[in-house]
Amino acid sequence: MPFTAVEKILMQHSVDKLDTVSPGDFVTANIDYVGFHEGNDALVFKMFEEAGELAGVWDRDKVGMFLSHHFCTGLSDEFAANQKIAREWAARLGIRIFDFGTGICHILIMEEGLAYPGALCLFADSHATAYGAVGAMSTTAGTEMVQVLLKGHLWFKVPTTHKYTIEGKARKGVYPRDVVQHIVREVGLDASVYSAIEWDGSYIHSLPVPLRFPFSLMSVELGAKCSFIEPDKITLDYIDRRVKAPYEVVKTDPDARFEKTYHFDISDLEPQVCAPSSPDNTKPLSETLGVKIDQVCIGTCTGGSIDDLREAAKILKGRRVKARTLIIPATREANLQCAAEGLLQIFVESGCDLYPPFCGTCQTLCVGHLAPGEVQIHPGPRNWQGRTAEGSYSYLASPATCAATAIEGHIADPRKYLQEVKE
Amino acid sequence: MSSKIGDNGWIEGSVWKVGNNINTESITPSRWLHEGVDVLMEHIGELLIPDFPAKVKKGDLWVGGTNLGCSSSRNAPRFLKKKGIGAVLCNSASRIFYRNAINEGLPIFEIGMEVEKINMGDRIRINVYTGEITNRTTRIGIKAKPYPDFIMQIVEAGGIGNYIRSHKSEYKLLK
Repeated sequence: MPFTAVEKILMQHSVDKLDTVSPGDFVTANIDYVGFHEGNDALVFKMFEEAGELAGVWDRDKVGMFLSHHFCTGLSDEFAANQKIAREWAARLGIRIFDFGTGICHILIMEEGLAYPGALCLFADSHATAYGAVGAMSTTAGTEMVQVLLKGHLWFKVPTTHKYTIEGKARKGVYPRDVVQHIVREVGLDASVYSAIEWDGSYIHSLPVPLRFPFSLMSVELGAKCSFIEPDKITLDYIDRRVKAPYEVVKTDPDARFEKTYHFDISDLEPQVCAPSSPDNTKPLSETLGVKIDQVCIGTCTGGSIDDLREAAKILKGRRVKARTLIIPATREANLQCAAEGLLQIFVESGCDLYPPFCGTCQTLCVGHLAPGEVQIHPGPRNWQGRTAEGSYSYLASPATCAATAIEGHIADPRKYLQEVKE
Repeated sequence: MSSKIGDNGWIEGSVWKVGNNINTESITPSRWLHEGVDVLMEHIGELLIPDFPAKVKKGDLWVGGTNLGCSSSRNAPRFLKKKGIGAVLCNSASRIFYRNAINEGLPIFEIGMEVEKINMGDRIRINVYTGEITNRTTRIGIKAKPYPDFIMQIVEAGGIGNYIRSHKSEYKLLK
């Protein structure tokens, strides 16, 4: 019987050692790695306290605490106190802590080799779908993380799988961030509710791993439970120096059944901008040109990789920004690489401000607050109302479009600046 | 049947209805979430239904369309329950919202297009064990699929925390 990769991963991890599963089945499965960040861990720790003294976690090497996700700095006395509790718990339980300055949890998990082909991972955050980019199955757990920490397993419903195939070569100025928000608009926010999304096609497999993150991570914006991109040579080169655990690449059988299939050819796509205030409100860039922008953030989980920052730097080099512009690399690794390549110099000379790695202004939780009436643009995954102050608005675009916009102070086309770049 | 929920599993309340693809940010906005629970309770749901925080009564139902509670994994069901919501009905739920509801002991049922038979303000009676739903305003009956046993146990315990506590002997790492 043919199976999808996600079905195989669930079978291989099933406590009952199942040799067959079908969509809709309930499976209890062993977990390879779990992480939680400062936003949701307070609840988890509160439950520990309520549930009694915790003697330990099922496997300390398979648990990580990530404090540098939503915040790059302390905010208040209460916040500092919560962080202190989190650090003390990490020390007591002997689990690794990723503290301020390390960066966005989901990117770190792949950079640190904690997610790998065939692994089953959980994170207490919705964008846990990201690790499909390295061939893992990963999804979100909330307060049930207590169950996982105590026993190392959790129940799952086997999802149906939807296949999204993307073919073609993107035009200059068109990036994965443009492609993914175009797809969200085309198929809708509820296209793949509770399903696994398998991303495939020549376009996906041409991308460096960090530029596959927008697809795997934003799978949740299509309602998906998890994502999967079959590991190829690019994946294996990326994880080679990162993954310490033994692993085996899991692939979908050629005749496996998909509940839905979508095909896109992005050869003619122009840059895309998502307007306020829903991640499916995407329009061609040409329809949004000229919208006045008060603040630009170049960073976030879907725009803060070294590949993203290089594109932004190409455009910003030798120019001055008109909008206030925050540069926020996704992780310390991306930050260090920016430093090594001289990009930080370019950003500062152009009038941008540098921030330590974290989520950025996708939610204005610690920097980049907007006043009512103000408008920002960033390459992050979401722009719902409620993520920034009432009466403020967010547009979403590629880091290149964000950089061009920073220069002009209104939404601008990155292609005219890229024309002048000699590569 | 032994019953720990409502009156033999029956709960009744008025409907607060929202549309499709309602995200958790709009139920529990970041800006209030980080001000603390008390402040959040004054504003919960108001972006969607301005009257909601002032007028919701204990046992009322939150009713949504497709993909209810999409986006952020923040525990919106926890706060809806704290505000008094007794059960959630929807066409379909986002996976995270669905599991958060179960793990908070907040009954949630996906009833597909049947949700169109429920309007804002209707009085609804629902049996958490059998999935029987009666719209007392329109007198229309609806049937939801009951939970498998292992999920019912978590809901019945009042959430995963209580469930673990009541099965402490199975959790060797808890003193």
